[in-house]
Amino acid sequence: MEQRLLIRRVLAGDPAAARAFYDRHVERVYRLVYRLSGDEELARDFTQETFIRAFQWLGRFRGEAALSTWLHAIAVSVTLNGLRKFRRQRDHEVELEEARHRSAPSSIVEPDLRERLERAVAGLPEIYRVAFILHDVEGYTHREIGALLGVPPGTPKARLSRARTLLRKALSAYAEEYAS
Amino acid sequence: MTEDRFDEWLQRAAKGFRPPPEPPREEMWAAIVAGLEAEPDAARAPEPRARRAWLRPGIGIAAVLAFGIGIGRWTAQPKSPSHPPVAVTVEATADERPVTPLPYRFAAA
Repeated sequence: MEQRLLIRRVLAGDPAAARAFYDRHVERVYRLVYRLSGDEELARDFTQETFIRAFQWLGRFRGEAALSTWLHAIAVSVTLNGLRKFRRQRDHEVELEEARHRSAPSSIVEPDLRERLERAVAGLPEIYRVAFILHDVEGYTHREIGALLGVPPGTPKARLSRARTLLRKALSAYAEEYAS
Repeated sequence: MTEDRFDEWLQRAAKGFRPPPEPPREEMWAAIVAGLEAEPDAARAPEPRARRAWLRPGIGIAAVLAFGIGIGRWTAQPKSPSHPPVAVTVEATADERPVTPLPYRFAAA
């Protein structure tokens, strides 16, 4: 079904059209949200929230940007706001937990590439982490990232460059070992 | 490792970053339908970007006000005296302890 017709039918209250809209976009939205959050439960919650907002605001979609860009912008916004809230709560819980187990022996196993990268990316400040995930992992262009985040296209480019510099510092020793 | 080689290595490694699991489509769809039924009034809430858009003029006005107050305070400051400041000390006996704070007494003198 053509996109404009689908939107009209969703707005007219057609449940089958709403489901078709969801089916058309859910996979991409879920993947984006999962990559940003790194957690299945959070990805599920943020994807649901994204579609609830999208259905509530669909009447205001004017077609100035692609529908996918509009929808993904909601997904990024919902995810980043949700993560900030979640991290504040988790940090508090971790502090309490650490205080309880401060003397417990550590059993850190040498992590593999995926874990190292995961840790290094997780250690990036949010703006750099988002730029890296959207560009290098998800494959968005700088222009698309600018549209998703509401910033000029030069901004994601600068942030990506900084993200790579920080990742290089965090991973260079391991990257050499891995490449050799 | 050079910068270019690292970027190539990173881009290869990024391909396997957080491989997403299969989305729980039906479970999420049920929650979306329930969420929409529970929040029918939320459709009137502004979108985040729209909210930011009406906040922008407010931020500008606040910045102009802060700038104006700064200029006002700066111009209202007394000019630096032509003679060096003189330290004033007050000696008081236990019986003559000032009742009012010292700066007010100087101002009244």
